[in-house]
Amino acid sequence: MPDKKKILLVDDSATALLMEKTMLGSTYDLITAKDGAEALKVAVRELPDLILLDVVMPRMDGFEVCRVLRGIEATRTIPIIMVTTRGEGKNVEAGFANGANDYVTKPINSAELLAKIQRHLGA
Amino acid sequence: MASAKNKKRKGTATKAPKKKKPSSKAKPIAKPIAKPTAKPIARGASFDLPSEVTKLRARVRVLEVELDSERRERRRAEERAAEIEAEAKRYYDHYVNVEVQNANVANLYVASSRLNETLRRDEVLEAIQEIVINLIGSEELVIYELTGGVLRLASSFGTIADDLREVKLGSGIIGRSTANGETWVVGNGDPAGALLSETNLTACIPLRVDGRVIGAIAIFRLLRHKRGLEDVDRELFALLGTQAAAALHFAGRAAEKTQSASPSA
Repeated sequence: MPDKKKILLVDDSATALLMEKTMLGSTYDLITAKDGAEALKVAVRELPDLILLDVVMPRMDGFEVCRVLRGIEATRTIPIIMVTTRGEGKNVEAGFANGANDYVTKPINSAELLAKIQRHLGA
Repeated sequence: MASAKNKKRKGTATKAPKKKKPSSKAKPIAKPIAKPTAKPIARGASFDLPSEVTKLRARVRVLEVELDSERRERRRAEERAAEIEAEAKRYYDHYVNVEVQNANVANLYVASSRLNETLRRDEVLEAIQEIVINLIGSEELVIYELTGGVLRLASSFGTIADDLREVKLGSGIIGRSTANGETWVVGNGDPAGALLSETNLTACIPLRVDGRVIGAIAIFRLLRHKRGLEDVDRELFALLGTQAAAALHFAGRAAEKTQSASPSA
């Protein structure tokens, strides 16, 4: 059986993290970070296959985390899916402008999330 | 033997066609394809027309029977294909339904886990907020606690009108829903008597412990991309109405116990 792909979940909400773990836990290896600064450290150290990144977070928001990750050679090509409560154009455009590959809106639809993850992992 | 061979050779030699001299009117090497024509009946040969007709009619009947059989077979195959297609659709619908049920159960599990993992009041209030934001999909909410016939704001998220910080029991939709102990949901509940600040109210969930109302959760505008409430949202309302209430109640009891056990109290 091939190794499970590793996904970094980044959200300051324990409820959102638990929800994502419940949705993805049986299919992927999951690691978590509770804010943007922690996300950067974990991403560089663990080099996950994909990052699920909340937009609104304390200390450093998702857009900034995304921009910094795109500037680091080791994390430049890791697919990033933004998780946002605001699915309207401006927010989504900002995500793509900062280097995100895709986005999902809260409340997360598990089928949609799984489909997008599979698409970006090429599995 | 040798003479026979010679004879044969001789015979062959005599029958061998003479080579023709090439002429300008040489015929093409390939034979022209003969047009298919019915074999002409030889002059004088007998031809029994009625018998041929009978034979042909019999052959046509056999072919008709075979055609009928083929048609029936084809119809059966088409019906079977339609049955298989319908069955596949049923399985797909069932699969989608199971997926939706799984997602709903996951939502309820997460909400329940979050509400029951702490006895600290601030963490319970935070868990309620996160459930409304992340699982229901609203960033405008108020959590009230009922004291002395008045609902007082215990926690809120988003922009909330000032007159909603305290609501008298029985006043407006929130006050009336809490007094009745019945969840009010937009589209189902009676909007009569709504306060101006309740215009965007989506739901009011009374918090009940042991049959007693101890507070309420008012949820206002849903996130813009959320198309409306779903069945799982109503199940989450029911879960919040009891489990959030119990969590808040026991958090309060735990705080009282801690205070009374503290030497400085």
